[in-house]
Amino acid sequence: MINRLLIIGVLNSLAWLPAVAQTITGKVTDSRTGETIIGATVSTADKSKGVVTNLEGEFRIDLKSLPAKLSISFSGYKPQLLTVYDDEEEVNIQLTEKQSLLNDVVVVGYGSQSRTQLTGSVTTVKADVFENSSSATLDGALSGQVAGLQVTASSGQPGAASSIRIRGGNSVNASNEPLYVVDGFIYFKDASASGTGLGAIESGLNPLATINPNDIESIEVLKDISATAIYGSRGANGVILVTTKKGKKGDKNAHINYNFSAGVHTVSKKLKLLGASDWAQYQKDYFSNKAGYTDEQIATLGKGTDWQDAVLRDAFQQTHELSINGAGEKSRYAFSANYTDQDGVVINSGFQRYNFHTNVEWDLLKDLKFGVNATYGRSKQSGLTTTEEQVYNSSPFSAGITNSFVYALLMPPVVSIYNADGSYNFTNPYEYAYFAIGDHAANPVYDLKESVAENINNYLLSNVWASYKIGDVTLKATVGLNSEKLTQNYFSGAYTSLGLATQGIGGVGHRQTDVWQQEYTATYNKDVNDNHHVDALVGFTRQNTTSTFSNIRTNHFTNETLKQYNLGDGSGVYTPRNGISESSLSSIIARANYTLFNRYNATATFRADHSSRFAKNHRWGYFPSLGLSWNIDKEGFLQRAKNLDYLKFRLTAGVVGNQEISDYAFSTSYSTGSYGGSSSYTKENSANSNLKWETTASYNAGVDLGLFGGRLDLVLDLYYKKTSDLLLNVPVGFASGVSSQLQNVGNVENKGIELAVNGVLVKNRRLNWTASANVAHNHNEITAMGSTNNVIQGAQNQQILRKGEALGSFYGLQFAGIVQQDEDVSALPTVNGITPKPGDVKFVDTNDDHRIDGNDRQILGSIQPKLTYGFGSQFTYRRFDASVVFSGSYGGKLYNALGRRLEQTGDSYNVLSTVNDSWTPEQGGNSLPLASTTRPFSYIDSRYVQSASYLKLRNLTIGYRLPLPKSFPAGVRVYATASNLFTVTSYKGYDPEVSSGTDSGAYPSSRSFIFGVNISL
Amino acid sequence: MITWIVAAWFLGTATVVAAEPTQTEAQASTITVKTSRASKMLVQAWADEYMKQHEDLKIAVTSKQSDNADLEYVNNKVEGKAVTYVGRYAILPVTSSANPLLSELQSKGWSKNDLKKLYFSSLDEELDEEDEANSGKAGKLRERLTVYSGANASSASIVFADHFGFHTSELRGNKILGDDLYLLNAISEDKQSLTFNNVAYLYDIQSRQLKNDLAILPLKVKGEVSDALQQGNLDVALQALEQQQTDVIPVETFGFTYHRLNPKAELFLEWVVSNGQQFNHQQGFLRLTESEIQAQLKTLAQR
Repeated sequence: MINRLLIIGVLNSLAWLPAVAQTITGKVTDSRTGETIIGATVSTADKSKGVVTNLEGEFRIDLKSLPAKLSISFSGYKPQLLTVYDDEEEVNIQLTEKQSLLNDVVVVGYGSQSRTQLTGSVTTVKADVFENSSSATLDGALSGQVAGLQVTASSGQPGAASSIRIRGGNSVNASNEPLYVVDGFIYFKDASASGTGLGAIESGLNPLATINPNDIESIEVLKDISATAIYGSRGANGVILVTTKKGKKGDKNAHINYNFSAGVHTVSKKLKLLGASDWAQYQKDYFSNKAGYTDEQIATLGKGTDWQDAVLRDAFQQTHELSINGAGEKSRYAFSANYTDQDGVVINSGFQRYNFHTNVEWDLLKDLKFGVNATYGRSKQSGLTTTEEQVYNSSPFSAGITNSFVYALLMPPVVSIYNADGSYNFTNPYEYAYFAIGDHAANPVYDLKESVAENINNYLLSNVWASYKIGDVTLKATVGLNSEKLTQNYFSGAYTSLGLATQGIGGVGHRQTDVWQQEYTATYNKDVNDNHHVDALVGFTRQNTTSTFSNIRTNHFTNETLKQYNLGDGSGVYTPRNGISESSLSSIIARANYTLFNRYNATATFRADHSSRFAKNHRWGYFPSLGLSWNIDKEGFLQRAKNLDYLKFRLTAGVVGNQEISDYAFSTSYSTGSYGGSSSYTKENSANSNLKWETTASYNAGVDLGLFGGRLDLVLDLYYKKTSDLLLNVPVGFASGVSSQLQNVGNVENKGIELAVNGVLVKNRRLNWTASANVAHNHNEITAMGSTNNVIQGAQNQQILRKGEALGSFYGLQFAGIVQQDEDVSALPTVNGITPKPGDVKFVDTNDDHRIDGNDRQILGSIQPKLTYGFGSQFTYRRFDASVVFSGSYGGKLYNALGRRLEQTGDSYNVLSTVNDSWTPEQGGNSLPLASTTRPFSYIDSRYVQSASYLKLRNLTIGYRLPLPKSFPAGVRVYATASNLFTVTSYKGYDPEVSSGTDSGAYPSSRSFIFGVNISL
Repeated sequence: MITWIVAAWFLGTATVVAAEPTQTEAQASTITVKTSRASKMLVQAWADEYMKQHEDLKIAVTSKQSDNADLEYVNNKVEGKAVTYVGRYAILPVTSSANPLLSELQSKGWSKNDLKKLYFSSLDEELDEEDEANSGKAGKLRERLTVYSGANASSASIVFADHFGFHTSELRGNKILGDDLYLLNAISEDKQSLTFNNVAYLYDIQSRQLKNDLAILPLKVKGEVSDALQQGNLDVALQALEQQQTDVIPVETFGFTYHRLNPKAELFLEWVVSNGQQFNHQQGFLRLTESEIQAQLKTLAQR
């Protein structure tokens, strides 16, 4: 009994001694947001003991003794090691996120979203890509940056548009260009619809010339249906969201930045044409030797006149940019001004732009914000005059003479540019077909210097907006105006190739386009608790577009001094043309996002569009989509996965539509003209009361993977798109008054795979080296064409639309070599009823009917590449920085119409030096026929459908930040940029990038060397 | 015999338990003050002096975690709470006197920018800032020195970081859990290191001299302040810090927050703000300025 009491007493006494309490309690939170982190591991440094934070982010761990070391870690955050000295206070351990791709917030349609919660395929391109590029427009800098985004220049002319395709083209007659949204304002303009009806001017202004690339903060490329569905009808070809730079709230300093750059452009490649001696010899050997050259005279001719060199030059470019941005307590602002002056490598061509941009935002009241975005500018492009695209036999176009630059290539090298007295030489004894009247012939150098082909665009993009927050709901109203006035000036004097026949021709055209846009949205955003996040959007938008145009041309001038500014001097007046078109698009939009446990995401989108461009009963289109994504890395079974930053799986499906056709395609229309001195009307379009939306059903599966603590990011996407009710020009009977009618008859499919990889190779205080690469494969196929079997397209009937083939397929004869001396010609199929003889071209008799005609044509490839790819690297070492970007394409084809023209032998024009390899009885040869004046076969053949595969070094930039005294208030960086440094390609023309698929002598591309200085305060 | 011993033991226990004042009784005559370990000596000095003048009042000062204290310590200016500020403290950068790099550290006066380079790294790791951080003497030393800072909510790290325009997560080096006093342990164990601390921890309160194993980094400040800090005397240093404001040395107010101020606690605070200031220097703290004193008294009067 006593012993028991003693024990109890001892135990009782022990209760009064202070306990050895080594229990540490605390919380783990995010250092940036302050949010608790659930499931973080807190363990002793030797891992002998460990706990996980609960739903409140709290933990409790017992330690044997103090001090002790604790390790705290959580996926996506940098781990921490702390020494614990006492347990008197609850601790708050703050973890810092690793910089990984999934931590970004990306701009999406009508809002922004954490990439963690995203279900769609969205690629971000940051500002430094545009800052390092010397391109005057943003599309020039995008090449090679985004998997599945293909940028093809239409020509090398400064300010010219590019063709952009995201995951292949979906349409034949509707536009395939993506939609652009600039600071929330929808900006869409197809370059092909921006003329004034004047004609005769090659190329048009790039609609994207209105945006200064250096104003861009970031670009998001929305590729799949979940990302684009909110744009409904306009999202079928993908969406490019442009966010311009803004002041940063809380930043008390104003930032002033001035950038000056200057440099030179040179033509990337010159064609090898015959020199004077070679050309004269070739004329003497095969043709009539008009000039009567003797062998001795031929030997002394030397190179003669290099007309290609004479019309090309080293072109100067300069750019000045000033930007100011900053913020106050309740406002932020950004302002920029830009002046670009870029000469073209072809003489008397160039591009100039003035551009002013501002955006300002105010907090008027606690929950009321107001903002203004405005861009005003003027772009002017001086380009090439072009022959009219007429295919009758006597048209220069039909002979491959498409513009003054091409004509210069064709000029015989024995003809001089200037007379002995320095005046222009207008004598060319070899020109008798197109550009000579009497003894007066055109001089291409004079043409280019004295002709006028200008596009001038004055534009205003502006919108004002206001948003008001009521609890978790934000109401926003935006009203915007895009107003553009395009002026086209054209003049070809009496001594120019295009003005020769009419004693000069000139014209002026105007187009005024006003697009009013209103948007009203309500957004709900709520974190119900740590486990549920919901946000929803509903809204209404309306866009009204009015476009008016007019043009006038006159000919037969007596005084050309004022050129197009004195059209009254022209006694011949063409029928003046003008017109108006109006369209409207009204839309109801809705989207809901739901996130569960920060790992399961769903996005549902619905949009209903009413477009005036379709027949009455088909104006409404309904476009739903659903996207799901799963942040697999947040699951418990992957918590301990070493080296895994994030892993996300995405699935999307939905439908979008395309309404980018002309405003009255559904309606009968007539064009006015004159006939026999009276006005006349020609039916241009036959009404189609069933004309409706092209719709594209799209499916995408994707994976986002981040590894090794932000060192490696991969994005993989597989997609399938089917465009139904494809709009095709279907041949119709003559009773309708037209030859074809636009109908919804076909289907096109695109399916493919994209892979993008970004890696941080080295990252420490002094050295930072990153690399990125992307590759995409797209298979494009027409899967239905209704009752139509084949639709031939192109001025030379070089392309075909056919079920089972890709859009842009080339259709021609398969070249089979040259008939040799010892060949049995009786076995050869006839050509135009004539048996070929040695030295003639042979073609494959596809249908074995022993004659070569249109029925022997076959598919020779298409413009669709098998692969598009890009790769690049950025390197910074202390004050030095360098970046390089490559882009390329593999498997596509291009019709080299210019090459065909320049290998067409005759007694008028210069030819490529390859003509030296023409077949002769002595040397044989199997690529080019015996030189003669015989016109080539009217159908194209496989020799000129050439590989357009290429690899280009797009951009190489080296920069250096000057080490200045601390007292100097500014930072200064000097840099040098080279663009299009070299191209690896087997294509025989100037450049394998020709967006139309046919190289008829487009303005040649150039490489540039630019030096610049950037001063920032 | 054993029986009696055990019985006496239980009786004693019961007596002790019975002698504990009831909650009601304690509430009427006791003010509980929860303070930090660093300020505990000062608050105790206030409490002792005040209790001498108010014998019916008991002021319980604790630095341990406890709920429902009448007055809870805050170590910086806060908004949205009822607070009375009662003093100020200065934070100085220090290293071990046995630091092998001591001669280099003492070869120049460190400016605000130098201290940023020594103590902080930017979360964004902007190249410009990094490159600048590596330049100059501070830049060359930063990689060779480990920084220790406190992770507790009451640590001076928050004030120190904020003074230089950073967040505590942007402090370089290693963090400790525990009172800031243990930062001195950390640099004692890892000699090639730096930390910073409340002046009250850096000097021996009894001898009034800088603790033997510490060296204060020389700072680019006005001559009087620089000389005062280099003398190593607490009172000289406090005097100089009160007379000269300098951008390089963080000086912060501390005080007490409360939910409902009982009248006795209010009177105590009034005394602390006015008469109690004379004790601040003794414990290594700065006094409130005259304008701050008037402002605190006015705030208390309005309650």
